Amino acid sequence: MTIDPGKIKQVLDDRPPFFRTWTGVYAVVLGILGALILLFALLTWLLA
Amino acid sequence: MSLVDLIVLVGTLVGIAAYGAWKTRGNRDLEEYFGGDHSMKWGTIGLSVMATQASAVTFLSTPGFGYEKGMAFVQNYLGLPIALVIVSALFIPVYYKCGVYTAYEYLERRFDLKTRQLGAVLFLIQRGLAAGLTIYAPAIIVSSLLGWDLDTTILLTGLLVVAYTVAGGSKGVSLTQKHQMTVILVGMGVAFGLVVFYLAREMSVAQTLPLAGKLGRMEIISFSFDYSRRYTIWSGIFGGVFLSLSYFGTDQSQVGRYLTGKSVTESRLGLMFNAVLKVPMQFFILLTGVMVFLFYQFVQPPILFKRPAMEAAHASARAPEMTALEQRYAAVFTEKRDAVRALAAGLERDDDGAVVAAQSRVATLAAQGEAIRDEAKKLVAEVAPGMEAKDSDYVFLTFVVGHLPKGVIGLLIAVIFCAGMSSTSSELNALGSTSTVDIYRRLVRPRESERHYVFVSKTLTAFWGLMAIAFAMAATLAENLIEAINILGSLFYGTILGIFLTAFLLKWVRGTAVFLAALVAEATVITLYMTTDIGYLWYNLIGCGLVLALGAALQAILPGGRGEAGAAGGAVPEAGGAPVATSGGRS
Repeated sequence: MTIDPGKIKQVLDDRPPFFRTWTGVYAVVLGILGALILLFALLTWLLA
Repeated sequence: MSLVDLIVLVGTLVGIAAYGAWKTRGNRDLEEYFGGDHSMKWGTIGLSVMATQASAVTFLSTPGFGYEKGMAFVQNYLGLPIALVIVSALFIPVYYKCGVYTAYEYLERRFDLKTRQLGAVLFLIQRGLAAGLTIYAPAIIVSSLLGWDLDTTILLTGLLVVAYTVAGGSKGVSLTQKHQMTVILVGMGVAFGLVVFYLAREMSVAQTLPLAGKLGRMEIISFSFDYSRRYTIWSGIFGGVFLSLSYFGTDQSQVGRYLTGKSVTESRLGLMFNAVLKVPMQFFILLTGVMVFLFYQFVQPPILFKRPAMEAAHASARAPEMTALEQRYAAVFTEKRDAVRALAAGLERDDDGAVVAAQSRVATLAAQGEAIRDEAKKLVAEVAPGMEAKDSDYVFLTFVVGHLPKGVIGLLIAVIFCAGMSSTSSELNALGSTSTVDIYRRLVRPRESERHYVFVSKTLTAFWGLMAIAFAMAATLAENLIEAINILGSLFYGTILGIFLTAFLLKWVRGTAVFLAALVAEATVITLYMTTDIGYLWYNLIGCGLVLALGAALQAILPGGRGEAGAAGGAVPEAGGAPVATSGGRS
């Protein structure tokens, strides 16, 4: 099995748009999840 | 069903299928057929992944759950974004680096041929049966409500999905899913808008959520540590991470979707799209069910939503008993409606005393209504033994067919079939790719032309499709088969996830150890299933945990002991193992 060097470069150079690293994207995604949980908790507290 | 609805329904289904087949005509090699030529952008991948997960049952059962029990079910999805982040960070780069078509090819790179074959076979058994279910589930509900012939419904929708999946391959599946998901989102938006519009005749829009809360449908999050509660934030996050990780990381019907990406970035963004939108989407579908519940506080629902159950009772000698129950139910409903109006008025005036009194009255009358429904279900069970009287899956479609305008009914039924067809097409494509790449090309005919493999792929995809249709038609014999298939899935999922997590996390464990561990784990899970009453979802955890623990323990005992066996995604098969295939035409 030969791994295409171009493919490895593509994987290693992988950068998300608008962010320096994927860690930033993941932080935003998990932050949105946290915000949703807070919103759901608030709605439960207000309405249930 | 009116002519307008029929035109909307058939036009939507056939139009999308024909578009997918036409856009992808003339696939020449496996790269194009299973890899979608790696041309997909993140939006298409995102909608395709979402459409694969959202089956017809999602759009039938989820509003039904909202109607019956409220919003708590949304907690089951809270672990999904976390799992998608893990898949994006850990799984996708490895799959791309290895240039694989299927997830199981990676197992040969990391372990050996036998582990790859084990993973592939477990997937084929589980998903082969599930494909039948995804055709069967919408057909049984839609045909029973609209009076269509079940076998004809299964055959027509089944053959349509087989045709465009075989013709278009992976790219065809992704392109059709993009449009199917668009129809689904538009259709659900229209249904939500209409039910809120209907409710506006009784109350202001701002009053709907407080009223739903007073009627016990707005407990979205529970921080309870009570293990007897089925839905809590803890079970949702921890159980959800585990289940979503196995589904998105190791199930070829999902792996095949995001591996059609133009690049790692596109695949990752497609998954992040789902990580952000999936929870709000499920919230919105459940909320639609809650709005339908409110609607039926003012408009009398049938005593049982499942029409065949009602017809069976009315066709029997005990029809007068059912009629009497319906009359009692109608009387209780009228009283309850007045009490709900009093409750809404109390909320409007901020009159706490009136609210508490009306809430108590509504609860008493709702309990009386449920008691009458239970009597009706018991009657159905007696006159039609074997007929499941549980009817929450029928609530949403009963509302659609009974109360929405012409044209919208056709659109909403198209939503249900689009959801079923999009899931089925991914499953068939995954079954075709796994049986071609992991079984046929690896074991049977390893050195044939690309054209030969494309022909075999199409034949095997068609074979799995016809098997699924046959299974769906046989499933009409046993209505509790749906749960049986869910149990079957749980019997295998844990072991497959255990193999993959061992590959990624326990880098010193080699092929023979994980293979033996997987066999023992699978045998243990099946034995537990046959001899104990453990809830079937726990088999996922047990199977996975056993593979991880036994794999590590066996590696310490087996010759060679504990030593680095190559990094995840590395390509060092264990000594004495089969030679690594030149898997993935991209390498």
